[in-house]
Amino acid sequence: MNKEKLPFRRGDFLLSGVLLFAAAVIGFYSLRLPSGTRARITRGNDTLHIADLPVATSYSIEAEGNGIHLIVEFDGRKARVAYSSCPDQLCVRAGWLGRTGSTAACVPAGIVLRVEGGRSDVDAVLR
Amino acid sequence: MKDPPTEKSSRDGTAHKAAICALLVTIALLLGFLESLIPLPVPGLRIGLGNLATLFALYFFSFSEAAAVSLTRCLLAMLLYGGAAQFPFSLGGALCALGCMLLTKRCGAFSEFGVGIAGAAAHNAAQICVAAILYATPAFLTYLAVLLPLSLLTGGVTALIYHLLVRALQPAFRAAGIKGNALIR
Repeated sequence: MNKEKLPFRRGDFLLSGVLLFAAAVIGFYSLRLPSGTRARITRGNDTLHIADLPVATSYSIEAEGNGIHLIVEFDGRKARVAYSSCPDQLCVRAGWLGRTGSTAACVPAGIVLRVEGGRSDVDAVLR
Repeated sequence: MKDPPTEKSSRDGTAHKAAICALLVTIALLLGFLESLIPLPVPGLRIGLGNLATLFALYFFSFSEAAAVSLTRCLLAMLLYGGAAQFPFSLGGALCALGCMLLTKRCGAFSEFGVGIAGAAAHNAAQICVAAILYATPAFLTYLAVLLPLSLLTGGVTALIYHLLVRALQPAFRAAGIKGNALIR
């Protein structure tokens, strides 16, 4: 193979820079999100389970949607999909969720695990 | 003396193009299946090798052929192994990737690497946006902090494979009379 240079153009570097900058801004914003106070499991519009975080003792519950079986685990301030019988395993690989807004969704089952709360309506309490 | 183009040769050209597009769809489906067997550490991340077919169609034919290849691939992937639940995600991703690839290619400031990266980033961003809308969860968008930098890598790999393939196959393309506007000089 001859040693021909790859045909990069200026726009390629500009696009890469824009994408990295956008990712850095989103990453900075997401790291500032507080820990959640509630974990909610939904299937469509139905809420299947709500756990107040942190949980005193770790436990797990089962959920089922479209013939797909999930096991959701709660431990301390975090929750995760520990098992799913779906083939892609995306929700399982999302891992432990603890920050407000963090979400794991099993698309084929239509089941979503979402961490909520963590934002107070008041800035501070003076005593 | 060369014969003037006849209705028959025109029909043959269309049939030739349709046959190549069908071949591209088949290759994309096969690559998509093989790719699904490769475990990746980040959930939702795909290398996007199926995008190679769209890149080929976009550079060697035109937008309509690229759109046909991309949409047919989505439909067949749903029927073969995707399932209806994933279809809005794959369709949204494919349409956005196609649009961004067309824009970056037409713009002229990007090489096939820029076009490939734009396609990969748009595909990931669109899928996350579809998830955020379908599940009414804007927090999904924070996941782009991971997916956007990785799409530089995946789009770059796809474009590199395209570049090396076109360079290697250039003599064969010329011999077959295929005139892509991306033949490497």
